[in-house]
Amino acid sequence: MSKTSFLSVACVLAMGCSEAVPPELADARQAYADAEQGPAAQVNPAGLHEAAKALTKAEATYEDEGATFKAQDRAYIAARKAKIAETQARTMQAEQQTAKVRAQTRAMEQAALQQLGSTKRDLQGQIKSQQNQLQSQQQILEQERERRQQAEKLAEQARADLARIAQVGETERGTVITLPGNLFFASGKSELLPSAQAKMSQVAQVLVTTSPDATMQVEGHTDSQGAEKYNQQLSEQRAQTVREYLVSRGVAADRITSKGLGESQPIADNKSPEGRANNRRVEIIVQPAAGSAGGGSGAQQGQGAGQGNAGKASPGAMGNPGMGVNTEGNAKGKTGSGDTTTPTSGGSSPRR
Amino acid sequence: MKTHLFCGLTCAALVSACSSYPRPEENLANSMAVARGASEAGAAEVPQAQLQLKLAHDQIEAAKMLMEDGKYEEADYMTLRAYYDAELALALAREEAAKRGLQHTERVSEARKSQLSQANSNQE
Repeated sequence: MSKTSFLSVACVLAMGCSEAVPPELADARQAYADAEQGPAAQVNPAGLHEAAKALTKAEATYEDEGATFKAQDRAYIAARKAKIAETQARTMQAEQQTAKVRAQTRAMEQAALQQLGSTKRDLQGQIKSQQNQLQSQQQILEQERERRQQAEKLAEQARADLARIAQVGETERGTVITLPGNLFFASGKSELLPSAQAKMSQVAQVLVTTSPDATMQVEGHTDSQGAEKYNQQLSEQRAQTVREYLVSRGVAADRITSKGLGESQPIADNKSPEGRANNRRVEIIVQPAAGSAGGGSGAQQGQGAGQGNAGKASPGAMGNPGMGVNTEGNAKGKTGSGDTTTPTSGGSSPRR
Repeated sequence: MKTHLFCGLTCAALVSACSSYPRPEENLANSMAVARGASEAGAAEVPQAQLQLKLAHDQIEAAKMLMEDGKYEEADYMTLRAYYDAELALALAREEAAKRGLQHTERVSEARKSQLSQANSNQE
């Protein structure tokens, strides 16, 4: 028998020597111990079990035969199996970890994708609502445009209508509507001629519908024939008559004044009949309301409180499309959304 | 007479050497197959695996020589050793591959992570 086996037997009997373990067996035991402590126990129990079996077999062979080369081989193989089990365990761990990392990456990407999806939805929502806003704004603009067009048309109409009844002019004081005395009053009288009622009514209509907030002054004039005082009185009475009529037709009483100027302000030469006829008149001076603008060129400048603006009031109160917008807009119950016309209230209803 | 005796002696010697132990052709073939497998798995590039593989090859050669000498049992055990050496070489080669795979996956994951966080911060 081999020397080592004899020694090991002797040592076993002597119960004391530690170097008796054959090197291959020692290796195998160590290899198994290492494998057992490593991940194989959890991850590769099958492989570890194989290694255990091999070690047991090797131990048994040593016990039975001593350190035969068969025993040595078995120990050698047992050591290898232990190492294989260990190595396989580490491989499995690495593979498991790889799978885990892959899964994590996938989860990350999923989350990012979802995030992207929700961001996309949010943005789409925003776009949609902005589009809607834009649409409604465009609608409003379109309506405004239409309204303005309508207003201008009406103003044009009003102007045309008025021009048929009376003379209309623009001055720095405002629009001046001249009512020829002969058409509206009997000679020396201050009551409206019946035939003039209809015209007066039309004038009132136009004034009320196109400039409901306007401030007006009614001024009576005469020619130079007759006494100054008499003329003064007559002109005053006629102015009053016109004022009262207009108020009765819906012009705001606190926005219209009347006065007589007698023969003090002729507009024509009193020497000729035509001239005198021209001087016999009642003038209605109209200033558009404060803040009212509209299409007129000067309309948007210097709008203040009515009377105070008399000097700088924009001409074209009558021809001012803005006036039309006021009424039209109010008639439809819409208030100015960015509209520069007066935010009038009460529409075209008459005011007392 | 002498020849017979000689033959008899030889035969006896032969018989005692051969015994009834079969020629370990299959085990040898198996261990060679595993060694080939380990080599193909890249054992040559992994130092520890390379060592084991060399051991396996050495033992395979030793086993072949033992077989030629008729020492079948010894050869058989040698092939077994070679087999497990080769198995270990293979396991080590696979471990290396798995480790590299993990490193690669981790690198890719890191890159992806930073890519995604970049994209996220871009959104804000």
